[in-house]
Amino acid sequence: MRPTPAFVRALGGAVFIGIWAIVTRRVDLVLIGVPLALCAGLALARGPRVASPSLSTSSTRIHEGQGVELAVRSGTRSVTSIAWPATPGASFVPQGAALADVTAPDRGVTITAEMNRWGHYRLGPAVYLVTDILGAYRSTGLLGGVDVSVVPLVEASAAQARLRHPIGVTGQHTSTARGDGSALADVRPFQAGDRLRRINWRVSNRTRALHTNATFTDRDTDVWLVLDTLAELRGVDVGLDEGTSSLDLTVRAATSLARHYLTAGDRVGVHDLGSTVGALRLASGPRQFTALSELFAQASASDRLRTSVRRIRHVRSGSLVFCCSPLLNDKVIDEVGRLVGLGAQVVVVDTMPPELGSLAELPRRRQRDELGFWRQAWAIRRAERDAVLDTVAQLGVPVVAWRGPESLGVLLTSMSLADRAPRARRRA
Amino acid sequence: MNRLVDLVDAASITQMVLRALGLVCGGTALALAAGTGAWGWQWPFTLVGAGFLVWATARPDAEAGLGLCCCVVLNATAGHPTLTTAAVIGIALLAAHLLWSACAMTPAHGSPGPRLLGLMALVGAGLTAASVLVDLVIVALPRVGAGAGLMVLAVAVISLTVVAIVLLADRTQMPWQGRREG
Repeated sequence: MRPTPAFVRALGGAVFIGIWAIVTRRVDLVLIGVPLALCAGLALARGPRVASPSLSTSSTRIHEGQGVELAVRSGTRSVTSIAWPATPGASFVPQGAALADVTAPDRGVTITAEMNRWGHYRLGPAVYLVTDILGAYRSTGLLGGVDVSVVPLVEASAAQARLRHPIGVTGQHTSTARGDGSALADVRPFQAGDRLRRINWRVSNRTRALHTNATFTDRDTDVWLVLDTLAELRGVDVGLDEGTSSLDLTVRAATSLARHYLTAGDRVGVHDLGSTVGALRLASGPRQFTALSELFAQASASDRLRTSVRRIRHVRSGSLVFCCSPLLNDKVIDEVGRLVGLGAQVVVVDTMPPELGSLAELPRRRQRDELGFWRQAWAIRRAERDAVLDTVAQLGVPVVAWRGPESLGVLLTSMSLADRAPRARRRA
Repeated sequence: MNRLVDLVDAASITQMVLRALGLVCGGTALALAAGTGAWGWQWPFTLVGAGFLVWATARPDAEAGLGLCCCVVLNATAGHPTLTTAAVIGIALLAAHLLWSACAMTPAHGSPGPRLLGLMALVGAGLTAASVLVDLVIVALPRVGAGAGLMVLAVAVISLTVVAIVLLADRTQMPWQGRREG
């Protein structure tokens, strides 16, 4: 707690003018000094009445696009100004994250931090300055930071795709094995032991012999979400906090897929090839979805480029594997091939940002580009990658670009089509 | 110069407006004091005062305003302002002082909230009214034949009354006074 320059100014000015007025015996000088003298006298009479502020937050766990209210209150009625440091991925209201206002125990200065991206955020520490109403005494310091976890948005879809080899005992996926289920497999003559409710009376009347409906069994399966977090890619002219990066697309696709398959009763696990997000063992139920949301909410993306790939050790044959990747790293492509070789049903979710390497983004002829030849370089890289995608598709691995919630339906349809599509023969 | 360039880059619009108003109020006080006497005596103080004014505008959270007060008083001493002019100079100095205080309370790239601006306006209006009252007493008492002692006593009583009213009004809003719920 210390006097401010404003207090020194008022008191010093009043004293100087007062002494000078007495020395010169001038009433007009007294009138000049009266307002400042009153101001200084009032500040002296009130004395230092500034209490340390306290910080409260509306929530520490939110969803993408939501905001956290950071309210600063003080024990006594005073003026509190607060300034939060800039945090990548967070935007503040008001802009600049700085505000000064009158605070009291029941009234504070509130700044809203809006998080536009999943992950873990550390807001602060903030700089505060508390002064009395006249600005005569003040106290400054730092307010402890706030940890905020941002859960990625869930994009749900009701679409369903048939799996090639469900590996569970019960569930909602139609398997190739005959048994109790809902999907019609065949109409065959009645045999001893068949249930009466399975008798197909129309066919029986027409053929004059009892026939029953044979169905495929419904089973669950293991779903692995393999995340390529080796690098984070953005558009060439997109800032660090702007647009959607490959990592954003990866996390959103993984969240949507996890929600979809966990709702269907499957076991879902996460494997991170780049060790940015972390891994999650196979499990099912709403608890697993909470664990997965927590995993993404606690992750903090960094610009560090990772080169080593953590391979999946154990994948059961027949598992469904979604590999969310921009497919720019040869090691990731090798891993996709290895998973196919292990008997997994692999689907590649393309998470390369659409604007990166797009031909529409290329500058026109004779138009000077401030970014040099980065756009052209990425266009060539995308063309090379497209050739790789064709090769992957020929192996029977569907590749679907993730463009939001509608992509889930496209993806599931592609899985069904890929089952029936011709594919390149693998040579030893 | 660099300081001014930084100021333009960093300061918010509200800050700029507050500083501009402070510049206008301080400039008014300086100009009024300078216009009351022989320019030959006053131009050094006016120039130095203008320097302090620019300094105070760029750095409101500094004691530069004190230099401006001294220059204004020395200018007024060299000249012969009327009592009304002197009272206006004092109120202009007070306004500049409060505006610089508001700037110092606010982060450079931030802005003061509406409650703070309202309170600062209220404080300014209250202090101006009290100043006018005290000025009237100071001017009126000698004319009714009061001596110096009685004049000092009257000013002291009025000042203490103003301070007491403000303190009592403020104390009713202290949390330990116990606001009754429901």
